[in-house]
Amino acid sequence: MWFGADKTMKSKIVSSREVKRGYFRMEFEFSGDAAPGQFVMLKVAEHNDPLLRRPMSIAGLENGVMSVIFKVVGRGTALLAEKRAGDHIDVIGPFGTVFTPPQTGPVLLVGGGIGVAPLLFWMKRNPPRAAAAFIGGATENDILCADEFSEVHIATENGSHGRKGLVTAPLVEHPVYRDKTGYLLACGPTGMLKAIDQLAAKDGLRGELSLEERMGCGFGVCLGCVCDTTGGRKRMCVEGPVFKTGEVLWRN
Amino acid sequence: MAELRVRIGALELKNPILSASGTFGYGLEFSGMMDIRKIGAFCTKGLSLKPRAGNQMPRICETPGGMINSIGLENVGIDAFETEKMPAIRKTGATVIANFFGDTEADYIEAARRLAAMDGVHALEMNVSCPNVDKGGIEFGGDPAFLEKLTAAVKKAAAGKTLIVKLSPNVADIRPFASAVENGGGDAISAINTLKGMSIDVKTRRPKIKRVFGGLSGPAIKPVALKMVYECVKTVKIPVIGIGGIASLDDVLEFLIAGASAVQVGTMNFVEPSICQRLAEELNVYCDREGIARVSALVGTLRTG
Ligand SMILES: Cc1cc2nc3c(=O)[nH]c(=O)nc-3n(C[C@H](O)[C@H](O)[C@H](O)COP(=O)(O)OP(=O)(O)OC[C@H]3O[C@@H](n4cnc5c(N)ncnc54)[C@H](O)[C@@H]3O)c2cc1C
Ligand SMILES: Cc1cc2nc3c(=O)[nH]c(=O)nc-3n(C[C@H](O)[C@H](O)[C@H](O)COP(=O)(O)O)c2cc1C
Ligand code: FES
Repeated sequence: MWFGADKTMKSKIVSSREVKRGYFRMEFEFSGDAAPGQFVMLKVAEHNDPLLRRPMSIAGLENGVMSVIFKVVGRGTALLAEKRAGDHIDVIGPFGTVFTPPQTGPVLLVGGGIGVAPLLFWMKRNPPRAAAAFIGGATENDILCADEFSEVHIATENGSHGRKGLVTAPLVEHPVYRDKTGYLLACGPTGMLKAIDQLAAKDGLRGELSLEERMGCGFGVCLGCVCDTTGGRKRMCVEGPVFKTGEVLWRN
Repeated sequence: MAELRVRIGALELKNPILSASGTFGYGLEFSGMMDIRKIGAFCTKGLSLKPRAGNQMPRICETPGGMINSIGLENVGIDAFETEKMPAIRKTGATVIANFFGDTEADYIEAARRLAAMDGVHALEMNVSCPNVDKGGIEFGGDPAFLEKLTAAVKKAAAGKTLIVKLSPNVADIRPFASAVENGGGDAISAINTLKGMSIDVKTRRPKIKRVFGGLSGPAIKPVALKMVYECVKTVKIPVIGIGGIASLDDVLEFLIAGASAVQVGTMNFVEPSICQRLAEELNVYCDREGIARVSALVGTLRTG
């Protein structure tokens, strides 16, 4: 857990730029450590409206600079997008569970839209382990950071980039998937994660899924982020956001 | 250094800044983010005899300057609280107010008896904003005569421990409820719990909360809370603990001036986990700067007329 010495928890923004239409990558100073899969809670406004912090996956942390990648979907993220290098941002964290694939063996990364963020962080910390990345999105504009992975397979729903269709199509064809040696790390929309969970069960692969839910606090006290798992009701911000395949009892 | 100590029933608090139930977990989640010994006390998540899984998701949403929740009183239950949480809580050196509720009058009495006897619990806070299953689901805190009877029975079970009764604001007039607590022998009143509210996602035309209604909290409710606290203060002689939307030192001062002996901070703990500690420090600095020797001298100093 990291807090600024003055308890105001303000971090200086190093850079912020629009990487794709409506998608921003922001870098800010961060003096603690964090592990891939974890997230931070960002305060988007100086005052109390919007009130609650916004959860963002950590997309990288190197030399005291943390990066996040976010999509503008509402007021909070629109305010974040207005911040510039030199501004300060109030950050708390890191929170949540981390990706823990086995010590050896190939890893397959599956990201949907903004879900590539934590996978990018994992890949940077474990470069030789990532056998391939599979990145999906609605359109070409929603495919992020593809050039930062060495072997990458892309799918878009409208076919504007890579294969037309869902990202699970190139995934299940990959040799490391087909020979069942691959360990899956996936992050993205709930529908995609559920599909991967079901495929993994059917095809006998194991892996981890990073889920998303609205969060009131991010550190386990509001109980606003629970999900049901084979191990009972869990808080997504403390016992998650990373869960093992086969663990989540999908709501619908 | 001003005298910040305040007394609530038999309980002496080192300062009047407390954290509110349901916004501070079991007090353990904040370790590393603030020093729990620096605040007056913390109120546990509402406890019941049996563990509760709470309501279905989604159960929180943000609103202008606030949020709505319908957690459904999810908690680990009093047994697990005693064996799994309390040993660690005792080690923190925190002052612990156990918040509790029940589905029946008998549940309330038994929960109070268990918690009052528990090592490390300093006082009890009874949440009466819950449906009474014996009475067709009307809230325990919805009928003054019943509230008085319940308070008396629970006070007896609390065996000398300070009993705070936390009032619901979802009534036409809070004053008869404040009197009911006093007449029933309650040591103090805390007010307010969350206000009933609702929010709709216009894109999907669905309620943002699965149960449709939830409890509104945060800065948005402060003026309503302040008014109700003031009404309670005017009605009873027992101490009143002010709750609702507190986010700054000025908010704390408003409640104290209105007559609250202490305050609880709720939703803002989510936004700024160290806020209670900060407010206690700021209150101290304020008193010193203003030449106020004891914080109790501020209480009820509203100038009217
Ligand atoms: C652990 C975690 C990690 C996340 N990482 C990232 C990330 O790296 N990059 C990124 O862009 N986003 C991420 N998100 C989602 C991000 O937090 C939300 O998009 C953001 O809070 C929206 O704020 P807003 O004020 O712009 O939108 P709002 O006005 O609050 O909401 C706009 C729309 O988005 C929906 N929404 C809001 N919050 C969430 C949420 N948490 N999950 C799903 N839908 C939501 C709302 O229901 C609404 O339809 C993450 C969420 C979690 C829980
Ligand atoms: C997520 C959440 C959970 C809560 N759970 C409880 C509870 O279990 N018992 C209780 O008495 N009050 C509960 N409350 C009410 C708070 O203790 C407090 O009375 C209310 O939120 C108003 O204060 P605030 O505006 O500072 O948040 C809860 C509030 C929130 C936001
Ligand atoms: S976000 Fe508050 S408990 Fe998970």
